Amino acid sequence: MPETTEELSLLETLDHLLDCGVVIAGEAVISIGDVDLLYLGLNVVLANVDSLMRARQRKP
Amino acid sequence: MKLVIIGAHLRREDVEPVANAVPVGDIFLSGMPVEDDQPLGDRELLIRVARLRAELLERATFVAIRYGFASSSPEAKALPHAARWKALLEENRSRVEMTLKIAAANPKKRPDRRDFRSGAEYLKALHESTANIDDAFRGEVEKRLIPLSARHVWSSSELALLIERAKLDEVRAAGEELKRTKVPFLLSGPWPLEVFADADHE
Repeated sequence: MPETTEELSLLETLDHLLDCGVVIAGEAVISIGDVDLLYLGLNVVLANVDSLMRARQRKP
Repeated sequence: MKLVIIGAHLRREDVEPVANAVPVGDIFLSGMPVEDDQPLGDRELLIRVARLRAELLERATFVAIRYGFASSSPEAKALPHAARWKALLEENRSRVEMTLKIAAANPKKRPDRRDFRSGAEYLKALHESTANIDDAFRGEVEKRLIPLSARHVWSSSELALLIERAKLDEVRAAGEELKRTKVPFLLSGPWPLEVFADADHE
């Protein structure tokens, strides 16, 4: 859990950076450490639960 | 060299000289140049991009492009969206997003992944364990915050608000009033067009 307002602010900023906004390409590869993750994989790993549920609800 | 694409903007001067501007149709993408072999998961790069994103939003409202799209020539991928983004930007140039995240009322015990056959079932249970909002708090939000917004979208324990920049101080003051309810929440922003740039919310 974040301990300071500054940490919370950074976490929230990164959450929005990674989780929000339009997606224009799905094939970009992102590496975390030595692991390459497909963009979709990163989305699933890092998206918050609300976003995941929204994404699931959009699918037929 | 590749560009980490940050957003779509109405005018070139909304982007330059803070970031690189890439013309796409009648709008401009903002990009941060990085080496081709730079891993996008790098923590320092993420923080640099987050700061640049905030700096760009201070200049003018833009459509946020989710982190992860990096290319030396992003025009072709973005071109099919350019007309819709231009219309969005023209309609909402004076607006930004704010997000309210609310702690669950009487949160249920967090589900155990081992009790579920699939990840989807587990996520559904996890979602349901945190999705109930205190009715009185929701009423306060609907009374104090929503009337200040041009548009809003509820999604279980989150509320996205589209706010005129001129009303940001009023929204923050309303957030201060909400603290009296003692319900834990996080009111954050301003953010670029994120939820309201998603075609599913239009």
